[in-house]
Parts: sequence; structure tokens; C-alpha cells
Amino acid sequence: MNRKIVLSVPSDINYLATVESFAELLIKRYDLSEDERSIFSRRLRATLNEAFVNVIRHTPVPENALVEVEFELNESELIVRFPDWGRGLKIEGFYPPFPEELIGTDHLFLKTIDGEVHVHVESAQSLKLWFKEFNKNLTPEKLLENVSEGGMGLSIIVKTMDEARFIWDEQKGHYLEIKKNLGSLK
Amino acid sequence: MNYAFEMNKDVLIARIQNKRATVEFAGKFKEDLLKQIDEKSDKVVVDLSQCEFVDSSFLGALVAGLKKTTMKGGDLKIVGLQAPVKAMFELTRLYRIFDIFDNDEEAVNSF
Repeated sequence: MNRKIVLSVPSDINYLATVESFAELLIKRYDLSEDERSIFSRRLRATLNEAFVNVIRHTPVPENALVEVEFELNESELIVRFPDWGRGLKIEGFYPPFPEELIGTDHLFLKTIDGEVHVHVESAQSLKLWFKEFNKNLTPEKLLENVSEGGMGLSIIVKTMDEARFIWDEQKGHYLEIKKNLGSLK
Repeated sequence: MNYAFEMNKDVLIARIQNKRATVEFAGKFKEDLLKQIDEKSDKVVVDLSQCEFVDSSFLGALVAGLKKTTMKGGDLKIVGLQAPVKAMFELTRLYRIFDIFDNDEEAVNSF
């Protein structure tokens, strides 16, 4: 049986801890060992934090709009969708829906201390994010040169979840969809 | 208060006094940290022993502090990582650029 939960919260940083707190509640719904539950709820909490902050800080949320975070609890995976009121990512001068010639191409999105976040144009409506790790033998000096204050949030989402996508849908608009493979749903 | 500063010998100690070190106060903390580095010392220890969770905004503030101290010939070291916070340092690979210690004394003596 699939279950869907929608959390509707004001676009206000004071609700960040509320959004984060859903991590533990949701992970409890899956049949996992205690260690797995602790690791997954920690990772999901980090992801919920970064995704919510991204929505309210970096997308033009209309005044008084509520942020509706959708949680879909499937048999062996959790899907989370965050709305995004922006125009989506601009790839080679195009916002979604992307033209045919861009489908199947990869693009550098941002750099972090240890790698790069790329987007893969899966379809006219969907961009899949993936992380390309740099050589692990970089010296501390080189790492310090690479590190910047920003950009870590999205890399945390990509690294902690199994799949992350920016999707555009004619009815739903733009949203960030993240998936985590988990044990059986209880 | 979410954090407080104090001096130990010539080392500036920043103690985070909240279980969550996150975007809610990361901007103000960064501003105050950079000011304290300018005014007091470029040898800095940040005590995270009370924190159970950090986000990228707060980690960004630590990176800003590290960049500022190293630019001035000093360093910024970290103390007291609880398991979930240590996991974030590992995930973001920041553990490779910060010296991390168990307690104040070790960190202060390492300068």
C-alpha cells in the first residue's frame, strides 16, 4: 500500500526544525535495524533542512504562500517533493521544458570542496542531479583552495539521497524530487 | 544565546550553545566570528560539543572563519564533535581541512 503525507508550512525559517522533525517520524515507518534507522533519519533530516532552506531562501515564494512538502511512502522507497516557485534551471539558455537537442546531455551545476554537482537532462521536464567526486588524494591546501562557503546544501542532498531531480510539470509546476531506497514499509 | 566567545591565553574560543547549529543564526555567527578574528585573535577554536546537528549554512560560516584565519597566518580548529555532527564533517569532506580535537586543551596547545 502506498501512503502520501503532505506537510503544509509557512515559508518561514522558524518552521525549519518542524520540517526536519519529520525525518525521524517517516523513517520509523520502515522496517530497518536500529543502526540503519539512526543513519537514515540523520541523512533525511539533513536533506529536509537543505531543501526547505533552498525553497524559502532561493525561490520566489509568493507572499503568504504555504510550502507544501509531499512525502510518498512506497513499499521500499521514500519520495519527497519540495515545490519551487522559480523558473527552473537554465541550461544552455533554455528553461524547462528543454528542447530535444539537450536531452541526454550533462552540465556542471556547481563545485564543492571535493567534487562537482552535475545535472543530466533526462527529458524535456526532468533534470537528474549527480555528484562527481574529485581525486580523493587532493592535499589539504588544494582542498582549502576549492572550498567555498556556499553550494554545500545541494551536494548534501545529492550525496545523502539515492536520486534527486528538478522536475517541471504542467500541472504541478517546478519541484525538487528526492528518493531514498529503504526497507519494507511497516 | 546561541553562542559565546572567550579567550584562553591568546586563542579565541567560540562556544556554540545550541543543539542545532543551523541557518537560523549562522549568518550572525559568521559576522561576529569574523569581527572577533579581526579584533582579538587569528587563532580560533570552535567548540561544537553541545551540537547534535549542523547544516550547510553553519558549516559555511566555519569555512569563512577558516579562510580568514589562514589568510592572516592563523588557523581555526574544531572541538567536540558528536557522532551526527562528525558524520556531516565526513559527508562534506570538511574534516580534511579542519583540525579536529576532543577537547579545548588539546586544541589550544596545538597552536
